[in-house]
Amino acid sequence: MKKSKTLFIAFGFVAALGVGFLIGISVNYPRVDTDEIFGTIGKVNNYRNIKITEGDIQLKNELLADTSLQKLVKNYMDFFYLRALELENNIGFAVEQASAVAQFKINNTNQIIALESYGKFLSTARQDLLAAVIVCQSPEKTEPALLGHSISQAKNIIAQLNYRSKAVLNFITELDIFIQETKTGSFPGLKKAHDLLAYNEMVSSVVLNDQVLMKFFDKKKLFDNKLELPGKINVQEAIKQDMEQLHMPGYWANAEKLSLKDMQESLNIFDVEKLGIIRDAEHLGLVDATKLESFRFDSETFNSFWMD
Amino acid sequence: MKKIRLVLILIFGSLFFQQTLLAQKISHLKVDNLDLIYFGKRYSFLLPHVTQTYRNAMNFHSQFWNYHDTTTCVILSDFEDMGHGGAIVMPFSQVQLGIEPYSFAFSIIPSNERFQWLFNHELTHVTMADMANKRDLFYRKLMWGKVRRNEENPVSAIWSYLTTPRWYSPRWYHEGIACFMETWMSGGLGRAMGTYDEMYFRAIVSEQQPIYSLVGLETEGTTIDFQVGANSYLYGSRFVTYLASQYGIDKLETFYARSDSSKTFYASQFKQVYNQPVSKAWNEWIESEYRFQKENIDRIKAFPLTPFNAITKKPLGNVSKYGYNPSTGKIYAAINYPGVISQIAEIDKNTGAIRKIATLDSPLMYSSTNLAYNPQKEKIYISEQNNKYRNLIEIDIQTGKKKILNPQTRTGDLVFNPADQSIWGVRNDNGYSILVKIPEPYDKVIPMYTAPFGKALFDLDISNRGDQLSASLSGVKGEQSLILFKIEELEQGSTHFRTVHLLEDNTLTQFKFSNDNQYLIGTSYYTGVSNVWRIKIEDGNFELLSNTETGFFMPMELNNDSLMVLKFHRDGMIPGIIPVQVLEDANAIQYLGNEVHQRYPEVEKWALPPASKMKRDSVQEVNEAYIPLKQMRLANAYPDIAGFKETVALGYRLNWRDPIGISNIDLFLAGSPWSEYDDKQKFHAMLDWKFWNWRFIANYNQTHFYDLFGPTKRSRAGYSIGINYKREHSQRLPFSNYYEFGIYTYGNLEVLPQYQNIASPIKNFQAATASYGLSKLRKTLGAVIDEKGYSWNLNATSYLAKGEIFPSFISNQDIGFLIPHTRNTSFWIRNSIGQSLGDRNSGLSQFYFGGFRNNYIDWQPSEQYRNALAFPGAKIDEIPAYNYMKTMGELNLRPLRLRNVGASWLYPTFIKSSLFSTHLMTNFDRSADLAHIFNFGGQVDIQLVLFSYLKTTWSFGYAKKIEDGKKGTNQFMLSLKLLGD
Repeated sequence: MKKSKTLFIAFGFVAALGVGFLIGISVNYPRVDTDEIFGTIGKVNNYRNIKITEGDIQLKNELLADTSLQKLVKNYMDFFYLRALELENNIGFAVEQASAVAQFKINNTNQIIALESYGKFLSTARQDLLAAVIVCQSPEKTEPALLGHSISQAKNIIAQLNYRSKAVLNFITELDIFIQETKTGSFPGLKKAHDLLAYNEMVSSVVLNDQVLMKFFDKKKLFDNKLELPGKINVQEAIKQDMEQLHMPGYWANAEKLSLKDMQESLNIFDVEKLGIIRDAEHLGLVDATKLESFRFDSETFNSFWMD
Repeated sequence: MKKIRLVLILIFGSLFFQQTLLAQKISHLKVDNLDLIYFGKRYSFLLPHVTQTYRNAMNFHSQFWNYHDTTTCVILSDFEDMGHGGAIVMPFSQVQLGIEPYSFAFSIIPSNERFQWLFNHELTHVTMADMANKRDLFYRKLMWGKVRRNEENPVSAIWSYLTTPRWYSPRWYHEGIACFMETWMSGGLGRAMGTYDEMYFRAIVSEQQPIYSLVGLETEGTTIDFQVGANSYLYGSRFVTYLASQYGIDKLETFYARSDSSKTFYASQFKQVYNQPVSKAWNEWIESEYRFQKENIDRIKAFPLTPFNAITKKPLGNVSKYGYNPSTGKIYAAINYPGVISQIAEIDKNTGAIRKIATLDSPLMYSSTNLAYNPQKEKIYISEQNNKYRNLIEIDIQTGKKKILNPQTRTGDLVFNPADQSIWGVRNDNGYSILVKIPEPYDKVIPMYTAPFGKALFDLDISNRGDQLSASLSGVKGEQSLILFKIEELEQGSTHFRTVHLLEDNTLTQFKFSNDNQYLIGTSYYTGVSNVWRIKIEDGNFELLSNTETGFFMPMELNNDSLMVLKFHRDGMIPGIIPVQVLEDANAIQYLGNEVHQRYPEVEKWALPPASKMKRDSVQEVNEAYIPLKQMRLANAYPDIAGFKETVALGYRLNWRDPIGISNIDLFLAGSPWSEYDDKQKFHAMLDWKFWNWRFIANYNQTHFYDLFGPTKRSRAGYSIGINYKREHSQRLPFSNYYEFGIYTYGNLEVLPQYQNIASPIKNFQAATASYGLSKLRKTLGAVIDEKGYSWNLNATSYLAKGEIFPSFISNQDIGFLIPHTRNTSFWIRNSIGQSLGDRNSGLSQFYFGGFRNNYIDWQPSEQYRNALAFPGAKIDEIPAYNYMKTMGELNLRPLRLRNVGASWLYPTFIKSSLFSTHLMTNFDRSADLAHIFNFGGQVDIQLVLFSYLKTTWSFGYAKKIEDGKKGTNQFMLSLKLLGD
């Protein structure tokens, strides 16, 4: 009896194993090709044989074909890089001065923060401008795709500079109001900050032929006609630092030759001619396609009979 | 008088000079047989790439099809915000490419590097339609080129068919082979392996709906379906892939090749190659498709399907990205489905009730439009003019009021940042994909990051805190990655981004942040089906959240337990809710295209090498200004026939033009020596020169083909010379406007130029015309005519005869609307007012009304009864008026679609009927001459398609004229309109 009970238990155990095995294999059926699974999630197995890579896109290096255009674009980028350097320096000085005057700081916290943020933006963004300066300096040594990308990115930065310059204008306006209306002090630091920022913007307005900005400064006056920079900018050092950030060591050997070096002097000179005539954005190929409306065909006439 | 002439010469001369200067800004690069034409210099950086990709594709086609390309003109343009292509082969072979990145909506266009991919597709069209056998070459030689059909001269259709017979095949035939070739030439990326295509047919089988028959595709599938013309691509690539898989590549090649032994008409050629009618093979494919999709559905259903709780009862057709307000339970989306004008809608999540907020102009297929939602101010931001340069529009949810915030931003993929109220988007400009910020008050578009050329950004989202921005990034190998920017870093000028996840060979789209910002939830065709996936931002862990038999799209987390999604149905998207549940098991499906590869691995050899690897060994390379007049050449010359009064004239028509059609001269020289008219009326010459917006016309005994048939006569004895300028603006479609002016001189006239039955009181006179018009007309998906909107035009004409001036003005104004609750039924009020100012007794000062104005055979729209001078029920020119006011009420009933009637070479598409009634008041300034005339009537139009491309409309009309004190008159009209769209 005991033996039969043991046999019965053993049989039951084997049977249970068998049933368990059958259940086990049945829930995994149909079996999934292990090449097609992600965990147990099947991946669609479609034929792919793509041969092209990013390096296979051959673009034209426009600046090589047109040396006058190359010069114009280079001057354009030079100007904005130098402007960014100078403005960043002056913004740093202005924020420092504004923060030191409690009366001003309390009522203009947002303007100071906006200006400070703009200063930070310039310290990062100017690297993209320098990248454009470098590729324009030696377009023959630059891959057309990199050239195009660098110039595109620099254009973005310039557009952001133009948009964000309202932070400077707001700050100048507030400084103006504060200095005019506050009779309890002379605020030489704030006046200097005002003049430096205003001077930056005036130069830009003339160089870029920005009529709106020129009108803004029409009735503005500097507090001191003998304007001095807060501290001389070491352009070469700035370039070196920026190039390290850009990870373009190969270009550093040529950095000495950058014409920027020659243009360091122009930082303090109100000399549009020396900066080059850079007002003709259309000539630089920087104009929006929307302005080319006159080229448009009537697409209805054109497309009515076409196969897409 | 001399002063007037001088002023006119100066005006016309300066405009002509201006346009000649404009032409100088078009450039022309000729590299061997490639004629590349582009506008301005902005995107000339693309030229080497475009040239090489063209040569790469054309080399393949030339060898594979034994095709001898003579010259193909490629027009490179940047007039639209999305990339696109088009091809035509008559009179010259041309390809038009839009340089911008494509739309990635719903992953419908699977592609890698876009120029190579587009050339693979478009040059297939050129090869298929331009390939010629001895017979075609004979006719091309005879006609001095390939003839493009012209509705006004319908004999051209015969010559056109003889010179390019394969062009006159159905759209699916062309798109089918183009999609098939594009796929294998691109190494497996194309619609023959299309993710969306698989889903579409799987949805049909899953819902047990019918697949369109061969004729049904043309009559219904490409006209009333929510995808309209896109069905030609879907069905064409599917059927061609089936043919390749079932019968082999060789037969497919023979079917499409134009060998000397091949048949001219595509259906005859099909029968010759496959030994069965195309309709039979099509039905076989339908059966096979059902079996194929059933197997895929079974694979999917091997694991539990994700429960889907639909919000609306019916599919909403094309649906945009949507916004959701959790406090009100309202969903905001742009929707577009047959029978209803595209709209911005508010959908109640709980009831599915839809409230129209505003009409959506210029909708896109599939995604309707780009949309962002501002829950704080209850505003919706969308893009309009989606097929041109996009505007940024704000819509107030409460009032539905629309406001243009920023015109021509060229920006789509809109997303709203709640942190600073800014809108972010992707701007396509000069071939680049640019991430932009549009800060409040939305008047400036600030570029923040430009993707390297060849890559495209799309499907943006911003975290709920407003500190991170996610985007999908597509690369040149067809890979897609999900990337993440820190907005603060972007604002600081850094363009660094983190790649959260990358799929080398699949899609990653429509990702949105979860409510806790820990995950990005979106869709991927990883299993072959568009399912919902979740990616943990911290570690990139990729988790499956759904298993559906059709496809889920645009997931948005509602709460920890549920997601809102769009589910694909055969008739479009249905919004609904699914649970949040990480799945461990899901099967992959099979793609029909992959079967072709498995059975015929030789398609691997079709994959093109990189274009950069091709030797630049061109024999001839010239880059110069494109001067249209210099580029003109004889395009074709062919015999033609026309009517002159009551006789027939036979002659020859010659056409010169430049490759892109800026300057086009049409000259018809004919004789009618057998006529009974004076000898001087037996020679006929007509010159029509179009140059940009200018038109110079000179006629001597003008003929007209349709004068051979019916009562309306447009031929005129005598001579006329005129110059005309017309400028149209269509950038703000559906709104468009135009202005036009011209001067003409007439001599030796017998009847007035406008009125065939009115003898000209003076034989020689001059005329000046000026018109201005505007319109905004809309129709719903599935409509055959405009159903809603308005139009207005003002025409001024002045005759100068014997020193006397006869001015007159006509103002036409129409307004129409859809009748609620009745699909495709519209009511229009058409009003016209006219006033003459010259001598009342002269025929030059009168307007003449009467007739339906259709000829027995005609080329103009069949609804000629709408014309200002038409008056069905009266004879042509029967009713004179010095001044008038005419008002017509017109009811257009829902067209009847004929699904499966006819054969592959002849089938009807629709029957349309209209009822109308008109009141005409003439000479209202003099009570003695005042007349009130009425009519009522109806017209039925039946469209019949012959040889796929030759559309004809058969019209029957009846009207009765009623006038107080006079006996009513009846008029019947029978007309056949040849050709047309």
